[in-house]
Amino acid sequence: MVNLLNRLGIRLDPGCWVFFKWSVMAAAIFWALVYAESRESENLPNFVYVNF
Amino acid sequence: MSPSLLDGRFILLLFVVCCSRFLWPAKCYIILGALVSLALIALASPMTAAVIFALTVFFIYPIHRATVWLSSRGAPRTAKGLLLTFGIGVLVCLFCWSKIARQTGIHPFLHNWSLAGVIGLSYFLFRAIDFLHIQAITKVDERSPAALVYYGLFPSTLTSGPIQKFLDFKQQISAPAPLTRALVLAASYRITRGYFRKIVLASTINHFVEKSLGTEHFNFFKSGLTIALLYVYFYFDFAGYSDIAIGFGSLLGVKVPENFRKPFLATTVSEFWRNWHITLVDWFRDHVFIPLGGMQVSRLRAAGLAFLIMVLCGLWHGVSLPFMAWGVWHGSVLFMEGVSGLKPVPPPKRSGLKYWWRVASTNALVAFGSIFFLPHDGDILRILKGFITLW
Repeated sequence: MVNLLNRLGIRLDPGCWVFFKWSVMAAAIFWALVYAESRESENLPNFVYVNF
Repeated sequence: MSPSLLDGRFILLLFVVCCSRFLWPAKCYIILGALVSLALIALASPMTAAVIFALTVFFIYPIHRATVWLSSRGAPRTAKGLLLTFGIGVLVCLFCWSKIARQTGIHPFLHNWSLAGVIGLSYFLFRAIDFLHIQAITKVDERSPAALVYYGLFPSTLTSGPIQKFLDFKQQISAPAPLTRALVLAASYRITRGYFRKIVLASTINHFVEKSLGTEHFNFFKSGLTIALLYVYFYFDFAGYSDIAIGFGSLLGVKVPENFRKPFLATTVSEFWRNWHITLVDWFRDHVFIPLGGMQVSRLRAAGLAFLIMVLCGLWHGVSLPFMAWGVWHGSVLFMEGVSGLKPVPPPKRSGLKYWWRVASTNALVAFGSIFFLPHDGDILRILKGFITLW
């Protein structure tokens, strides 16, 4: 992604880029949790490797 | 509450513990870490805390001290070896017993006491065996049981690893990384990425897998797509978990080892296993492969050992036919690679059609093994049948 932006001539500060990715991920988690909460029948499955 | 990194209350308490590290005096870090971990796990799962604490303090620690005592008295190596063999043997028996009990629901000797209530027992036993085994190789003199208790109950890696080696853990807790702004930012990024992989990516993919499994008819393409989705699902699920464990670990001042290193770019299955669930593979290499001869034996025997390790790995996932089949599948591929002497593509040649063909074929071989993780045998058979149906 960073390479693609560089090719397009857009140069992002590394800190800015990390902050952008962090914000997108946090927003997506928030949305997913709100969505999951709104559909109570769908529980989040546990991690596959838990308690092997 | 359970000690799972998906349980809101446990995450909150773990976060409070991480933040409270500001207040821990450096001299008391190990004792406080052990006490806080014990309290946290006892709140979440009392049986887990009790079993791991008892095994550490009343079994592993005395064996360690007796080994040190024997060494200091100049006792013959066989006496020390016998003691360590006894300790490791008991842990291996406990491991097998817990696996069989969990699979069959039969609990020999202790009818009213189920080991199924102990969370992360197999990961604890991996760490305990690592601790006892390193004494046969290097001098370890752990005077206080606190470091061992902290090692056994380290909250971020308790349920599913990564399996940290004791010497590495001890080195980390002897000089824990200070809670700086840079460390907090890096850890919170890692934790967010972990939850993103689990809650957003893995859950969405799991939704599609379930949808696919819900249909009646499977053909070649649908079977292929389903196992590809399963494969990617396992990656995001487990890599997500590892990210969260590493993030919380660094907040506690411990650099937890990485479990994944771009496994999808592997060009052989053996290279894949050096980059997927790295700490488990390292454990099997250090405690099974090398003691049984490692690379010092003939190519055929080394390939046979790789096969054996994958079958053991399959049985570790569960004592059942599908997991056994998973182990045999991966073991057979590793055996063929070992016997034929197939090597990974070296870094300078990592481009072009031939390279990507090797990447795709390796991923296809590994992805095929994912079907054995499906909980219902009927689904496995339907997908396998789909591969011989074109439309």
